[in-house]
Amino acid sequence: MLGSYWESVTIFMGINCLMAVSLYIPMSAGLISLGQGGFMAIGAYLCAVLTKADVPFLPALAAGGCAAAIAGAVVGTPALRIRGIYVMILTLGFGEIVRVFFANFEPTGGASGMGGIRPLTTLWQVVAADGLALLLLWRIRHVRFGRAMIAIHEDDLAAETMGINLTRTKLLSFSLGALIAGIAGGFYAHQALFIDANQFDFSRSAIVFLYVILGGVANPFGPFVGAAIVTLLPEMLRFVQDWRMTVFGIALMVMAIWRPDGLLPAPRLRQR
Amino acid sequence: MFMQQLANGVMLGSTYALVAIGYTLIFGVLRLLHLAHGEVFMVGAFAGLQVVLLWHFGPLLALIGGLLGAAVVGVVIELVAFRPIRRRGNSHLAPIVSTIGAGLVLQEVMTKIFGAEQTAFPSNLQKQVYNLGVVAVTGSQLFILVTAAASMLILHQFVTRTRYGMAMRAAAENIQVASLLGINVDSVVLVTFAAASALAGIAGVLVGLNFNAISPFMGFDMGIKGMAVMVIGGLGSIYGAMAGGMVLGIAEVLSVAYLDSSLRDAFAFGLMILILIIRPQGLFRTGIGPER
Amino acid sequence: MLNKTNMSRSMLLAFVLAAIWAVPASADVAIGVLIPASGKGASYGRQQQNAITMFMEKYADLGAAGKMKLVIYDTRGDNTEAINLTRKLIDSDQVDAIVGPEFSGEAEVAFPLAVRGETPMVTPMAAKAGIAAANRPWAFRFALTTQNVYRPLLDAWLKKQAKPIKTVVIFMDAKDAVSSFDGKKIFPALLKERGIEVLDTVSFQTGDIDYSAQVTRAKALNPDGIVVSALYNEAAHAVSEIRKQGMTQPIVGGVGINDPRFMQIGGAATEGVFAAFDFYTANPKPSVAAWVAEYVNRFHEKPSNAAGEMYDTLYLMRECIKKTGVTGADVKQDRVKIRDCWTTMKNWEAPLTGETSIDKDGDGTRIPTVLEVHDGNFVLAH
Repeated sequence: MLGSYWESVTIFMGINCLMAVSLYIPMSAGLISLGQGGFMAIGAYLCAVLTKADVPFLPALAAGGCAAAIAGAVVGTPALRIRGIYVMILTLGFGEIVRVFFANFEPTGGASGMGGIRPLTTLWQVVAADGLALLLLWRIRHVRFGRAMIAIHEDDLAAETMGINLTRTKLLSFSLGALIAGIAGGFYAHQALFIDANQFDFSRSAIVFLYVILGGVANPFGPFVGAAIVTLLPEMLRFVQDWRMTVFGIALMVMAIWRPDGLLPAPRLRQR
Repeated sequence: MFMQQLANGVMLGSTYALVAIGYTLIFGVLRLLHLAHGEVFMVGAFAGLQVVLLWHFGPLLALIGGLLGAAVVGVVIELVAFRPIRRRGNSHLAPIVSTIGAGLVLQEVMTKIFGAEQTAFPSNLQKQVYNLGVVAVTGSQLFILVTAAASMLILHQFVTRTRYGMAMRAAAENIQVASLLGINVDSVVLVTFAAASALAGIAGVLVGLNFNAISPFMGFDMGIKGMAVMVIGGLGSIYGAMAGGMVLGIAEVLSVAYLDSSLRDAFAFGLMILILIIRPQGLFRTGIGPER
Repeated sequence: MLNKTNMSRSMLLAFVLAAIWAVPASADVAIGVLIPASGKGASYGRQQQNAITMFMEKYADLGAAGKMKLVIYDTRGDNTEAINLTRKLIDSDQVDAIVGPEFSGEAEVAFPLAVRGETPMVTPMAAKAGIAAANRPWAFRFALTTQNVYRPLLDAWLKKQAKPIKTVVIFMDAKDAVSSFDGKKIFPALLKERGIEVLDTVSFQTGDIDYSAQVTRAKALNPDGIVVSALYNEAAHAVSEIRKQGMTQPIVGGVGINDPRFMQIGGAATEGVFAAFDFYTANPKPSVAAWVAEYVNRFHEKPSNAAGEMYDTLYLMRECIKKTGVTGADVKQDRVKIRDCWTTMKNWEAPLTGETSIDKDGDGTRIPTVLEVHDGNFVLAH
């Protein structure tokens, strides 16, 4: 179908989209995480260990996702009572700690990484996962949980007054995001066939942040658009290859001034 | 060995403190995280390097070069990345996005000019070793200590004694009221940025002189550590940043000395997270708590 | 109008066309090359590109078989790029073999693809142990295994010391896969074989600038000798700090320091450091010296290991092409032939690094030269 090259590029892009979604969800509730790489790592390593023990792919993915979700709850708890900036720093620290952990944890390879992972990821799996994620984002706004997240994002004092349980909503959004990142990690591991701690370091978390910011924080298509642009742009514009980061940097600065909420605007709420 | 390690920690901590003070100054006045501050530190280091390479001047003039270079860049960032956003009202995301963008641009531009690897920072300071009892320090380490202490002292005087300093503190208290009282907020912000960036530039040159290596990517690491120090010391508190820097420097060095040194970074962040959980407002109380 | 003349003209035309088509065009032999031309590791990429340029000027022509054509891609030092580009080379570009990638991490992800795509892949430099072995029979490594390097190195180092070395402290870069593996497994085993006790293993991370804590810790133990297993940059800083704090013990380094910048950054502190490589710029052998001189002349910098090993790998690849007679016409067959050629390579003369063989694990074997730093250069140890 697609040539082997474009298939591989598309699979990685699909994984990046999942990662973007994983950050989009907590950000909808006002929680900015710079540690999604850490959740991705947890999912990747656990999933790889399980498939090596002959656990089938889908349950292994789920397990990786759940482990990441639990980590998300653990990290999310202290994040409940502190202000946005501190959440960023907290999650950044978490990501770094996960990286150091896996770089030193010998049973999963330590600094040498883990190789020999079975090539189980296929294009259709990733496409299906992305489709589900998009559906989730689209429908979530119509569900109580989703509206609660948006309300908190707008003004959490008011939201609380209206009876929204801040703790539960924030924790849930954080965990859900972590779950998705963990699953993305599992896909990544079985496509790259070799992982080490450096694949999930702060630059990973930072680029995921870039996906979401670029695409738009208030539109369900945002994470997909952002991930696609950042992933494909270097492929298509090889002549800006050398200045890629400068181009992104300037784009960010320009956007911060004119469209701080990202490229895609919030979809209009339907009038009732 | 312990006393020597302590001395090592104080040296390292002084550089952290200088960078963290800059973060905290800007946060105090603008309530904004300047995520390109680490890159300003890096530019200061390279500016100092150029002074040494082009004119073969000694460390003192390198310091001045670094300080000025960083201050200029810092002011430019304020004008280009912060001011237009402040004018347009409050999106809490915008300054973060903008400064990350500025940081990326600085990093890549410096990489293009100077190459991606570490560049040697020529200096004669390192040769001299002074033995003070149980502790041995080199000339460059002493230079760091003296310069850092002097900078912090000067800053302290500036903030408490001069008109600009007092205007800065007023703006930090409440920026709207300050402007109502006739303080030119725009110029206060400029001065704040200049001062913070100058300090970072000094730190950059000090690091270059002492460790003989600078790279366009050093800003990133230092930036993160600087933020961690800010959290430890308390957002917005200058003295907190100084103390926090020392705490982090010593803690890191001791972790390397007695534990596995590959856990060094984890240790720094672990400490930061611990403080976030136990005492979120930092070691020093400031007016700006992290709670909602 | 269909008449006899027209028909015979068209038939003649068809005949000629068929004849032209049937004769295979003088096919270029396409070889893929993966280098980190930008991003992290760009300096290695630049050195490799220089070596490629020098190689192609001299050796691109294969005589009767046509020309050697290199398809060069930039991996940016990124594993994902390495994966995508390897696939591109194998499937779209239909290369006969691939030289690269440069980094061990990239090799880890690219080699399995070479196995699946049944294409021989030779990394000139990736130093991590066992990757080729895990990807037999299609993956190869031109560089030596570190074990084969360190054995003669340690023997020479120990023999040279006036005061016998009984204890060492190992400094290693815990973040770099090769350095940490060497520091944790290879060096300790070899040292133990020789009855030397490792007092402590002190670690730092790639990119660290402050080594004062580590050196102070090592100093307190007062070892007889020091082992530094790191890349040239970190090693230079560590060695500087070691000398700065007044430690005078002899130092021996791992393969990561094979780069002229080790001496540039470390300065006088690197004097006397022992190491073993197969490519070094002060090699007195006339062909090597001439190559180095030409490189310095054209590119205004000293060639590093990256340049030397790329050049030799390409050279040996070309030897394989000539010996097996591949023409680029039947890619699948060509790949098998080249693979077999590398598998059975024994004592072939590589211009810059000397006699090379490939062992059963797919790794290069060679006799390294034991060197020490003298006056800012690696020279023969005496």
